[in-house]
Amino acid sequence: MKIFATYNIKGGVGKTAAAVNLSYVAAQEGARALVWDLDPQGAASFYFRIKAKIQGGTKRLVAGKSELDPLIKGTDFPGLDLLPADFSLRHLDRALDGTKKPAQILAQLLQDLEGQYDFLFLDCPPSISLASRSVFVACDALLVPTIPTPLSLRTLDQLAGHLKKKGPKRLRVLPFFCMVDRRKILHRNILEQRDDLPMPALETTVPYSTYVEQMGIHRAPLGSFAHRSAAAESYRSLWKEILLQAKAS
Amino acid sequence: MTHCSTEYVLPSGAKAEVFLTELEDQVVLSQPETSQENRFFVDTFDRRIQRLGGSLWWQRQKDGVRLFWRSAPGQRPSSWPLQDCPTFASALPKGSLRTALEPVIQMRRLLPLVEVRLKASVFRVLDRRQKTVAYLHWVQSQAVLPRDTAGRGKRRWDLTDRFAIEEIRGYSKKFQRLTRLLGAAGLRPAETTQLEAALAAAGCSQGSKSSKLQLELSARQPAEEALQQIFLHLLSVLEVNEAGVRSDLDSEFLHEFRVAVRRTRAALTQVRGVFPATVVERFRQEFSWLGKVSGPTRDLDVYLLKMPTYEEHLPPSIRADLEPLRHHLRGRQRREQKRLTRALASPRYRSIKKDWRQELESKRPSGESPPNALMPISKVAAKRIWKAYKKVFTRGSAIHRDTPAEALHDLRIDCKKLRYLLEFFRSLFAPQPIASLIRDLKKLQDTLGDFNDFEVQRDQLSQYADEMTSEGSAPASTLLAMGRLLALLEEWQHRERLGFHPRFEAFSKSRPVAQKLFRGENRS
Repeated sequence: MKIFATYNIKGGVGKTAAAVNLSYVAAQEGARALVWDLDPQGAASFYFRIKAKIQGGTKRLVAGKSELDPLIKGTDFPGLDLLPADFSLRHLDRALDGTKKPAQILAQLLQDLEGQYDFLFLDCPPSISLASRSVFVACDALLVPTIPTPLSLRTLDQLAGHLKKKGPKRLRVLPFFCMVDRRKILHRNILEQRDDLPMPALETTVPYSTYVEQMGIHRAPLGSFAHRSAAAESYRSLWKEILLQAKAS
Repeated sequence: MTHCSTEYVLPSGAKAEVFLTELEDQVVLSQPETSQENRFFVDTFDRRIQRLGGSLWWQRQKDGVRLFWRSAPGQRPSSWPLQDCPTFASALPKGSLRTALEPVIQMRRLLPLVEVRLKASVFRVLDRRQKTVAYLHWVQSQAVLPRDTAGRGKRRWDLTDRFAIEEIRGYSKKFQRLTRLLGAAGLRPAETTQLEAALAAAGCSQGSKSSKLQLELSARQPAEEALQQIFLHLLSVLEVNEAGVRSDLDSEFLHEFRVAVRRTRAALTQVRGVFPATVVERFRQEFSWLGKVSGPTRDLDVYLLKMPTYEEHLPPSIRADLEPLRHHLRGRQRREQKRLTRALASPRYRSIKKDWRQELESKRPSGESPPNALMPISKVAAKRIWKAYKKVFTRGSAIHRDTPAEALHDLRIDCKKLRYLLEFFRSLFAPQPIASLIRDLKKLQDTLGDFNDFEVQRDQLSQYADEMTSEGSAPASTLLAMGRLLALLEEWQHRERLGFHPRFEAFSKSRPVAQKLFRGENRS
């Protein structure tokens, strides 16, 4: 079971779109995939039309009093399941803080799913906190959606700096550019200077697309309603590249 | 992460459309997605796959076919793309499927069983977020049999519609509610699989008659009647396999055919005084002819079946050298098969079947019965078995390390006769001791059979070498490889010979049991 987390310190960069669309592509290719919606806003749950609520809340889960298994819901797509968000996730940090080894909790919980899935996608809320440390420990690679703007690059630098000091050494960080608008000079310039990034970005870029915005109207992954769109196509190539990277590690 | 519920069928007379309309008052259903499939089920003549509990079928697709395997009812099928529908186990895709099925199918051909044409409609059951919480499957189907050799055209039968609910993980309550709704509408779990239903509709649920004798005789039955029952069963086995022998579908048809012939001969000659001597003599000769006329084809079949094993035991570098031999064997097999087919088309064969059946189905006028005809079968059987047993025992005990091979061959024939007698009449005796007696005898027979087979194969191999040399079809490398094979056969035969004594010893331990079973019966 490979575990990926879609993560960025900054909000609104396309983390949830990446988790939902990449997991959809993986499942379409025959893999068994699970998305865990860790964001209390529950956007991933919303996209899959699943109520953002977990029985017993986050606290019981973190305290080891309830298991992940019964909380999992099948989506409308074969091979793709979701662990819904819960509003109590906003207190995840506080809940973790009350435990003995907060950074290990997530990894321990995920052990129960070993063998059930080929790929796990943790859709993380923005920010850097105790919860994100737990994610870093649990996952194999961070997928970091990055808009080609100076502010986005700055947070990428921040993340690199943070991980260098406190991150687990084996953790891979795979940034990729998304919401790319080739008409914008700024975007083009940043893409041309991608070698200056603190870590190499994936080749594939996800274009800015109105279809991605429409995911909220269709409440479904891109591929299910705009299979031929450039954005859907880019998520398919992105997944291919991620798999190659995961294999190489 | 989903699983399908049991399949449900509507109560008789109910209409699927009406049920669906009523269901829509209770739950929200999406527009159905429909698909059509023509499933061509295959199995061996003796239904080995069905007996295994699985089902194997193929469907046409672009550039070939797709093969499906369902290991048990309710399981999700696995599938593989293939160029063509498979006819033998060797044509199955390599991997788990072939590993599972090759030992079961063995040398048998996969024959078309029945075609099931189905139209599947899948409804999504939606909640108020329009989220799918379960799938409802509605399957309408037909069983289709193709045109057959008897000149009957394509035939179709409508099968009962089936419904199934597919559960989605995390929505078990919705699943349970749907199950309740189906029950309330009068739907009942289907008692048969789709394939079973199709076979039943098409009138072919029963597989072929197995050559296995599962006769229920009763101890007081007159010997004549019991034997008629046995002979009629054997005759039907013969007839059932005849078409397969003629068209050489696979080697097993001829094997079963010949077993029925041999058993008939054994029963004729071993159980005396039940049928008139003239009848016994005529049919002994006729069945002996059938045995003879089918022998060469069978020998060649056996050789061809064993070729892969032989090659495995030769060094890889010379395996290809045996190819001319294989070619030669195939050519001869085809010629012998033609000869056999002609024999089966002859008036002689037709009258054997006709007259024999007439003989078995007619009742002899009273007063003309031979001495043992009206004796209870248990007495006649026990007497014959005990006699045959003693013969095997005496002959076997006389075999030493230096006894010539002929003595082992004679013993092999005696064992065969004893085995047939035990199998014909096993229902008359206590099941457990008979079963263990047969088991020990079978082990002894295996050793003797292999010993004999290796001898026969050695002789034949020399004969083939002569034939091939005179035809000029054997390069030196092939003859050398055949020489290696000859040495191998000799070695194996020697090994069997060494195995004889322990096997015979195990068998002779059964003497007190046999004595009690068969001699005790005689005395009473």
